[in-house]
Amino acid sequence: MGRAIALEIDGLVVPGVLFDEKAPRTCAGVWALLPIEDRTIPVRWSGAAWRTEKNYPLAIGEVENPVTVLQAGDLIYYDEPRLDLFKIGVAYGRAAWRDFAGDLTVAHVGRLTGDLAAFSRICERIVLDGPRPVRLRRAG
Amino acid sequence: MPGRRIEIELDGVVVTARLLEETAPRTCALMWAALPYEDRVTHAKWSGQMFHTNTPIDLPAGDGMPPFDIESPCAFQAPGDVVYYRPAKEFAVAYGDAQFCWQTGPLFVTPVARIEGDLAPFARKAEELVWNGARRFVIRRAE
Repeated sequence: MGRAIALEIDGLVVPGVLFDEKAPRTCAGVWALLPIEDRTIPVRWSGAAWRTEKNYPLAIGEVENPVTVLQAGDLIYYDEPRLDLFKIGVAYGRAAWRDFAGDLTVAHVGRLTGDLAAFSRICERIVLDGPRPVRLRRAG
Repeated sequence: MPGRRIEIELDGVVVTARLLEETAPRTCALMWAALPYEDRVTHAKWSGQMFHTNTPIDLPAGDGMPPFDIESPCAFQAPGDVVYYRPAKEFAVAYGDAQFCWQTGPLFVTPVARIEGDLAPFARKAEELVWNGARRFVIRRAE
């Protein structure tokens, strides 16, 4: 079992877990960043997901626990140095991490385990109302 | 009457577009008859630099050809393309790199108009949808 985290958005606290065994270096990097206070920027190509506004360069040099297709609650980390992108992403429904060139492989670093229905309802409003403040922190 | 033009307004920025009556005559005729159309549009989640309407507008102009029953079906867009997706009864506008998609992949749409002139101010306004959420959108006949 990985280390416990929690995501806070619009008053909802969603517990989660990092996949420390499957993505040890990336999870260690994310853990060291916490707490993160950011905004939920909706993705353009990847479906029901958002990513952080701020960049979080981790310089891992590989994609640990690679994934493309996501489900609600999945946490990913991706970097694209050529485009100055170093983001944490979160899926709130069906998603597949993509950009203009096609599918991308990103690091699957964790999963939210709490009330995903309530979490998804909040996130589905983002394209209508604009990005929301979000906080990702250590838990437990 | 070929050569009809429409105005497209997004949050105060207006562009002119030419209806593609030569390739989608039935859809364009129904669209013309239904104008003006007003809605609040949201940015696409699967399709790249594209936004779409949310209030259904029914333009039943299929050509009866299985499996799509979509007039002039096309799965690729260029910046400035205005398309109609009949199954969801929605318009979508490409303002940059885009391909109309859902979670199943690319979908066939009917190209109904092409924006003319400088797309840049309109594209900047469309990009703001990501940061600001839904905004007012109008399609009307051009005088």
